[in-house]
Amino acid sequence: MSANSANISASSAGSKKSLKTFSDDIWKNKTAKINAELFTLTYGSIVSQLCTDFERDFKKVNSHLSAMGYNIGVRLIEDFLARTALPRCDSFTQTSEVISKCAFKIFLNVTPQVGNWSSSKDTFSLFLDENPLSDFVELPMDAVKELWYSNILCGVLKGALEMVQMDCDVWFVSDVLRGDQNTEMRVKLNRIMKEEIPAGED
Amino acid sequence: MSHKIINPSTSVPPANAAGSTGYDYTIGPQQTLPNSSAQSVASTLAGTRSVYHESLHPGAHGAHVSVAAYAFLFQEMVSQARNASKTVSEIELRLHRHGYHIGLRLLELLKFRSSVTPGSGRSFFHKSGGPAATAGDAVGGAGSAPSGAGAGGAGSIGTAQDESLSSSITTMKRRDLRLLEVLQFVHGPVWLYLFDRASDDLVKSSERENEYMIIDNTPSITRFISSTNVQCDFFVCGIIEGVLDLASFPCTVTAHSVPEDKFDRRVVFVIRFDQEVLEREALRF
Amino acid sequence: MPCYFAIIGARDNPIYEAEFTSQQLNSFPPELKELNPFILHASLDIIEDLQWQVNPQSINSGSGSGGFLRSRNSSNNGNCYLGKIDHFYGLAITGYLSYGNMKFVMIHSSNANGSTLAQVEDWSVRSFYQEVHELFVKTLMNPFYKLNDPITSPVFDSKVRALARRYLLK
Repeated sequence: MSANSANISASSAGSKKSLKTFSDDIWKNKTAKINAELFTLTYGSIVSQLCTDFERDFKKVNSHLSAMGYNIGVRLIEDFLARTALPRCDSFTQTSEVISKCAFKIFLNVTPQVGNWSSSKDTFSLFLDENPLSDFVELPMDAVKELWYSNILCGVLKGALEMVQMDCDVWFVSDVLRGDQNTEMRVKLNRIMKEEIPAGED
Repeated sequence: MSHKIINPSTSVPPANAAGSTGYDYTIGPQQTLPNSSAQSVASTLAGTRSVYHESLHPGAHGAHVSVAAYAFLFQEMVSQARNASKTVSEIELRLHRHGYHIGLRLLELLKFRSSVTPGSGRSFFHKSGGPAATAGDAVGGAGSAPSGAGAGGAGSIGTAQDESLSSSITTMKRRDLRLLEVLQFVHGPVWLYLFDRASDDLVKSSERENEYMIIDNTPSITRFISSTNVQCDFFVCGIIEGVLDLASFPCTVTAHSVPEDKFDRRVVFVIRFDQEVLEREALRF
Repeated sequence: MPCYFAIIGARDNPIYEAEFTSQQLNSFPPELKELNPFILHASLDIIEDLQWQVNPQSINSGSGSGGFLRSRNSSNNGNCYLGKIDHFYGLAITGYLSYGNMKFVMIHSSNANGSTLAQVEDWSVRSFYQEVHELFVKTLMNPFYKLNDPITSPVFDSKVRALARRYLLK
C-alpha cells in the first residue's frame, strides 16, 4: 500500500476535479430523487423505534443500526458500480476519494471531507459537515453519551467495501449531535481479502 | 387532567436554577430572571447545537436524496419489521407505526410552512435539485420575474440558522375544520410532499357514510419492494392516519390492492372516520 | 405586565409552562400565582368550543359588534389565533391552537392591582404565539420527541423567554 501511494497522490490530485464533475453529472442528470426530509423522517422513526424496542440499551441500538447498514451496503455496491462504471481503485487513497466525492454524492447529495490519514495510510476520516440523517435531531439526555445516531452509515461502508474485497472497520469518533465540534467517521483498512482479485472490479 | 401530580407553582426552586434547566413539569412554571442573567443563560446555550437552531425553511437542508438511498432504507425498515415480528399483523402494525410517526409531524410542518406568504422574506420554493445550491440563493418567491430580484436580495441577508419562518407570515394558514378540507390536504399537499404529485383520486364511498377513499394508481414507495406484499402500504396508511388523527379527525385507514387496466399496482386507501367526526360535522356545519 | 403561559396537550396535560416577569414590572402576587393553572384550565372548555367555530375571533371579540364582522370573506381569516377568549377579574386570557390542536394559552395581568382589565395587544400577542408555534414544530420534528410529552429542553425554554421579552414585556 504505502509503496505505491506516493505516485497515486499525484495522479489522484489530477483526477479530483474530474471525479467531482463526473459525480455531479450523475447526480444531476441520471439520478431519480426523493424528498430528503422524508428520508430524514423515516430514518428518525427507525432509530427512535429501535431505542424503544431495545429498552434504551443504546449499545444494542448502535450495533443493530450497523447491522442494518451492512445489509444495505452489500446490495448498494452493485447499484453503485452499475451506475458509475468506475474502474477499480488503485489505492486506499483513491477509495477514500470515491467514497466521499462519488458515493456520498450520488446517494445522499453530500460530500464529506476526507482527512486525518494515519501515517501508514490505512486509516482515514470522513468529516460530515452535512448529514441528511440527522437534521432536526436532538438526542435525549440518556442517549448523548452512548448512541451513535447515524451508525447505519458505518455498516453501509463496511458492507460495501467488503464486497470489493476490502475488509474494513468503520466507526464514529465524534458527532455534533453529542455536542462534539464535528461529525467524524473513521475507516480502517484491515486487509485486502483476496490479493489476486483487484478491488473495485465490476 | 394528567395523573401525575403537578405541584403548586409556589414551590419554585432557587431562583438561580431558573431558565438554565428547561421546563420541569413536576416543578411548574419558572420565572424569567432579570434580563441580564437571562441573557447570559441564552448565550451559554447559544454554543450548544440544538434542533431549535435549525431552520424550518425547506431549503435550509439538502432538498433531495437519491431514490435509491431511500429504497435501500425502506427495504431495510421492512425487513427489520419482519424480523422483529411473529405475525403478519405485527409487521403491518410496525410499518403503520413508522408511518404514523411521520404523519403527525407532517401535519404541523406542512401547514406551518404553507402559511408563509409567497414572496415575503426568504423564498422557500423547491429548488430544482441542482448541485450544491445553498440556502442563500433564493429563487424569486412569487415565481414572477420582476419580484424575483427583490426576493433574492432579501433572501441573501442572514443565514439559514436562527431565522424564523414566522417573521414572513402575516396570517397563519387556517386549521382544517371540515372533513373534506382535511382530506383534500392529504390528497394534495401531503401526497405532493411525499411523492411529488397529488393522489389520483379522492372519492366518497357510496355505501358507507363515514368512508372515503384515496386512490394511487402508481404507488411509488412500495414499488421498491420486489415481493407482491401489500403490507408495505401500511406505512402510507400510518402516515394518513397520523395526519388525520392529529388534526382531530380520528379514523382507521386500510390499504387494498385493486389493480385496474394498466395499473397493476393500484392501491385504494380506505379511510373510515370515527362516528364522533360525523356527529361533529353534522352539528357544526 | 406579568404573563403566565402554558401549552396544553391533547390529554389536557401541560407540556410547557412559564411565567414571564421582569424586575421593572410586577410579578404575580403569590396568592394569584397559585390560581393561574386553575384559571387557565377553566378556559380550556372555551377553547374546545372555539376550536370548531368557523370564525372564532369575531365571535369572541369583546366588543358587542363582533357578530357583524362575520361576512362571507371572514373565513379567510386565520383560525389559529383565537384572540382574547376569557377574563377573570382583572386578568385577560388569550388562546391559540396549533394545527395538531395543541392549546397555547396565556394569562395576561395588568400592572395595576387588578382594578383595570389587562389590555391585550393582538398584534404582538399573535406574533408571540406564531413564533412559539414554530418552536413547537421544531420540537415535534425531533424523532425522539413523543407528542404530549413535556418539553424539557432548556434551549426551547430560553427561546420562548426571549420571545416573551421581545413581544410581551414592554
